[in-house]
This record gives sequence, structure tokens and C-alpha cells, in this order.
Amino acid sequence: MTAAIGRAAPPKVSPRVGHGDGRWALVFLAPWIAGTLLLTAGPMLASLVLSFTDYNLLSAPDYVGLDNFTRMFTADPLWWKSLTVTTLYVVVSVPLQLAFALLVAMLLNKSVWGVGLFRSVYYVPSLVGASVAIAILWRQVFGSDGLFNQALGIVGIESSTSWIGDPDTALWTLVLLRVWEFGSPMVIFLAGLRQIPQELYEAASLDGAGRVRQFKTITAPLLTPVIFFNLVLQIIAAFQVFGSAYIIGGNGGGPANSLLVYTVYLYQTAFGSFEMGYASAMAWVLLVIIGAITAVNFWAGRYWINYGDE
Amino acid sequence: MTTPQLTRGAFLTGALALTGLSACGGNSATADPQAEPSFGATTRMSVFGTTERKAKLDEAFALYTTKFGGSVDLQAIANEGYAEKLATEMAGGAAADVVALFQHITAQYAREELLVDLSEWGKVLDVSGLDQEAIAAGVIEERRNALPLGDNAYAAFYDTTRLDALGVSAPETGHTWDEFLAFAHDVTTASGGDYHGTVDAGGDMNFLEVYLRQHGLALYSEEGGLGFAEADLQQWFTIWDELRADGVAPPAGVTAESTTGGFGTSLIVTGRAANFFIFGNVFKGFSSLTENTLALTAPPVLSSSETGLYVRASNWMGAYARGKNVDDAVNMIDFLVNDPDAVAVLGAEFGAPPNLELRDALTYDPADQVFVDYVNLIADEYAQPIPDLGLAFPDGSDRFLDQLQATNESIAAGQVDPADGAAQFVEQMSGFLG
Repeated sequence: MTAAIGRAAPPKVSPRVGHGDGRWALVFLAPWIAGTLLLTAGPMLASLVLSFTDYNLLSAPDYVGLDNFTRMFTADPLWWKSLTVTTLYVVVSVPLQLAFALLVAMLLNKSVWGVGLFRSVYYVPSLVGASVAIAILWRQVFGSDGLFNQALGIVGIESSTSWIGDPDTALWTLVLLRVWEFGSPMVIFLAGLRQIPQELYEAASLDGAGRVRQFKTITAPLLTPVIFFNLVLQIIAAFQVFGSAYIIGGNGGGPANSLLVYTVYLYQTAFGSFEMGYASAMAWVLLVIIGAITAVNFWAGRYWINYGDE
Repeated sequence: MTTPQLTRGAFLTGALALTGLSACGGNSATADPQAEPSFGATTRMSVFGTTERKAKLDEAFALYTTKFGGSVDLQAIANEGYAEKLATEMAGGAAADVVALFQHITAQYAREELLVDLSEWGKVLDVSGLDQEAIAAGVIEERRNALPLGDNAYAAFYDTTRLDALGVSAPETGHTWDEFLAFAHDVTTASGGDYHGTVDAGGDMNFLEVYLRQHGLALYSEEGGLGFAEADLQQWFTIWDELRADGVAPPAGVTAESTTGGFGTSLIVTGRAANFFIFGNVFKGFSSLTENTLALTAPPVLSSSETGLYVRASNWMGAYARGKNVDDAVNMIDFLVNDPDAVAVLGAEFGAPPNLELRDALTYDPADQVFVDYVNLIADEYAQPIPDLGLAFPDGSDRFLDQLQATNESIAAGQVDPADGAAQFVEQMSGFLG
């Protein structure tokens, strides 16, 4: 009953209350802290150590120094292939996706009836786009008898190409899937557009500036911080594309490895070949690549972002 | 009495400690094959495949527990993901007592000595009634690591309904490459070009293995490198490249699309090609997917003495060396291959019953009968010896299948010619193989 008595007694010294609060906070944070340490930080650290080993899950890891990294850069054409596919995917899909998201955001940045509904509807692909079901649907749409070819047929273009099965076009279907998931950058753009004072547009109209001129001189410059934010986030996300490529590529990397994105190759290495050491090394190289690109982004950002306070 | 804080603190510490402990896993003492075995404990088995397979195994295990007591806990999941799941269980010391195994993971676990050496368990397990040639593949580094759940042979399926309509007769077991090529051209010509005489099998690893064996070669050398030269592979790719060029085999896109939807999208089922190459045990599965009648025959051979064909298990099963109940595990393996009632329950679900006497005594439904007859025919007249699984699936060999398919797709799409494709493949695979 000590607990009950302790609680009944009124606190006399206030600093102890603060101390107690901290402890309670820690108790409530504990599940999260434990999760972070055990499920994120721990495995990350382990994978860093494993990246210098040969480890097949079944026997103890063998320290091999930098072998995994030398093999990656010098003796594994498929790794280069996966890096090329991923880079192409990022370079093409991210600008397209952002341009499309901005376009839709501008169309939805109007006070017309039902615009709220459209905003929600256009956000839906972002929620479902990464799902397995959509990836399977995509396979159907771009198959030789798929909806896409049927649509082409309606406008008079006869096509029996399997867009998924042709190594020259397969990646484009994946790019299109990414562009279609434009919802979350769109919402962020929309918020950015809302921040731009209407007076600027009114003044510009009075001075005779047209739509295009207004976009170039008002919208685009004032939106640069938001564009930058979206760019950084989407590049990071695009480098890590997995589910859609894995499913659309039929679990293997697609026709002639044209859908062998980095993470799919990493997954095959880890869970197909059980080369955990090599796969860990690949994961860390990807982290370094993403980190470097993000750093370059921030550096380059200084030259084109307008924060409006300079 | 403790304060609430202390209770929670203790709880958290305890939880952390438990998480740490469970990660270490548990090892049990290795069972002694010389001691008098005791049966009837709780035994676990993990298996991959369809629900039908699980149902048949459950039925067989009901017979087992009636006879020996105890209980059997069967964990079944789909083929996809089984290897990953088993690997983590093996690594964590928590795999089932009896494990169903794919070919390549049998080799992998054998190398790590994670499977019981069944040859030491003569007291419990009798292998004398099984096809000796077929079970030899499971002996790796002089340890008998696994036994077949069912025997199998590589095969070709032909849609005889369509072929009859076209007036072309399907090839029969023993037909040569020349006959095969002539047949495929005839079908395409007779159909006016919209029905393909053959699928594009240039990316089919198992067929390539048969082809290489016909030429006295193999997928891998005894040292674990490639068992053939660039020129050999180039020849193989050229066969299929020419068939595609003539419109006899389908173009790249059609093939790529057909390979990713399971049996249901294979071109023999969708009615776009006359044949399909695969291991014979799925003949019934294929037959059930189409209204047309299918014939089961062998792939083309070089000559009657150079067939490259062989009989090997479709699925293997082994006993987990660190399992808690090795006595029952080995006994269950014996039961599944040698007990007449169990074999009657399993039928040809996993392949032809490995016990030859029981295989012959059993009656099958028509499709399974065709398959079992085929395995017997191959075993009796065409089979050539095969290396054990350790040699057949060296380290890094799991990449072969995907890379062969990708290379064949590159050639089919016109990205590289057969010579460059073969060169690229050899370079890439040499990097993967130890």
C-alpha cells in the first residue's frame, strides 16, 4: 500500500515533480525507444558490420575487409546494371512527377464547387500506388491485351506490344506508375501555392502580365522552397522504389533485367542468394549515394531557391 | 508490495532481456542414431506448395499418429517465400524437425551440415526399396542429406487437340532435335503463323541442362564453376534465336508476358503455342487448366544414347540436425516413402512415389498415370547419371535461372546477338560462382 500512501501525500518539493515527470515521459517513450534501438539502430549497425563480412545466415560471418565493395565496383556487372536502371528511373520519374503534381495543384488551387472532393480523389493514387494490387493491375493495363493497347486502338493505333514485356518500354510503365502517385507532392505544392499573396497576382494583372508571365515571375520563384522540399523527398523515395518494380518485374528484374532496380537486386542478393554481407554492403552504398545526392541538392539549392528574405 | 514504477521498470528490463534471449535461439542435443529410438513425441514439419498438398500430408500424418502416437504439426506455406522463411528458421535454430526442400537449398543446408545424415539411421529408415539412381543425388559429401518426396523427370507437354486440328502429330519420347525443329516449323506453317510451333525455351535453365548433358557437358564443373564454354551457350541461344526469327517461336514480348503469371499464362494454356517444357509432375496441374488434351513426352534428344535426361526428386525432405525430435523425424521420412497406406494417400501429388514396388502397386487417375508411366520410361530407357545436389547446385548457382532468362530476353529483344549474350552471361555468372 506504499504506492497509495505515496500518492496521497501532497508533494512538498516542486523540483521533484519535474524529475518525476521526466521519468514518466521516459516510461511512455520506452516502447518507441526500444523499438528504435532494437529494430532500427541495432540492425543498421549490424548491417554496417556485416558489410565487411561474408555471411550466409547459416554459419558465422567471416571478416573479408573491403572485398564486398571491390566486388561491387569491379566484378559485378549486374550491380552496375541495377544502378543504371535506378538512376534512369529517378532522373526521369521525379521531374515528371513533380511537374505533373504542380500542374494539378495549380488547377486545384481555385475556389470552385467540388474542389475539395477532387483534391481527395487525386490524392488516392498516392495511397494505393505502392500496393501490390496496383502493381498487378499495372501488369494487366500494359500487357499486350491490356487497356492501354485497347485505348490506342480506339484512337486508331493498332498495337499488340506488351509494354511490360518489352525491355525497351518496361521501365517507362514503372515511371508512369510513379507519376501517377503524384498526390503527396501535389498536396505540398497546394499548401505552397496558398502561401503566395493574392495581391501579387492582382498587381501583375493590372500591369498587364499574362498567365505565363505570372507563373514565371511570381509563382515559380515564390514556390522554389516547396519545389526543393518535394525534389529532395521524391529523389530519396524514388531511389528506394521496390514493391512496384518487384511485382511488375515478375519478381526477377523484368524482361532482360530492365526493371532490376537497386533494391530488387539487393533483395535478390539477400534473400535469394543469402549473401547477407554483400547485400549489407549494397545497402550502405545506396545510403551513401542518396546522402551524397541530397548534399549536392542542398548545395545547389543555394543558387536557385528564393526564400524571400534575401 | 512494490511500487508501480518498479513494476514497470522490472517489466521493461524483463522484456528487453527476453528479446535478447529469444534472438539467441535454442539448440538441442544431437540425437543418437545408435540408441534405441523412441517415437510418438510432437513432431513438426514444414512444407511448401498448394493447400492440396498440405491436406494430403495431414491425412498421411493422421495415419502416422495412429500408428506411432504423438502429434504432428504441419506448417505449410506457398512456394514463394518458403526458402526465406526456412533460412531464417535454420539460422535461428528453430526449423521444423522434418523440412521439405527445394533442390538448391538442399545443397546449401547440406554444405552447412544442418541436415541429419540419414545413412546413419539404418535402424529406422530403409532406403532399399527406392529408386537408387534417383536417391543418389541426395548424398552430398558422403552424407545422405535428403530423400525424395516424389520422383520427377523433365518433360514436354503438347496440346494434341490443337495439333490434331492442324493435322500435325505431336513428337514422341525419343525424338531428335531435327525432328523437333521440323515439327515446330510444320505447326507454324499449318496454322498460318498465328499458332507457334514451340515456346521460346532459350531462357529455360532445366532444358539447357538437358541439352548440355546431351553434349557431355553440365551446367557446372566439379569445381563449382561453369561446366560449359561460351560457344556452347551461344549455340543454344542461336537455336531459339532462329526459331524466333522464323516466327516459329513467339516474339520477346509474348514470352516475357507469359512467364510471370504462373501456369495459367503459359502459352500452351492460353492457346498460343503448341508446347511447354517443364518437369513432368505438374502435368495434372496443366491438364486441369485447359479443356484440350495434353500429351506428355520428353524434350528432343541428340540420339537414343545421348538424351541428357534423368530422374530426380521433385521435392526433397530432410531431418533438421538441430531439431528437437530427430527420432520421429527420421521415422516420419521412412513412413512417407515406405508405408503403403501413406504412399496411397500421397499418390503422385509430389511426384512418382519413390518406393518402386509401391509405385507400381498403386492406381492413379489418368493424368497422374501418364506422368508415372513417363518417369518409369525415362528411368528404364533414357536416364543418364546425374551429379549429386552439391555439385549440381554450387554456391552462387541460384542466380543462373534469372540470368539465363534475362540474357535470352535481351537477345530476343534484339539488344545483343547470341554471341555477345553468351559472353555477357558467362562473365556475369563467373562472378557469382565461387
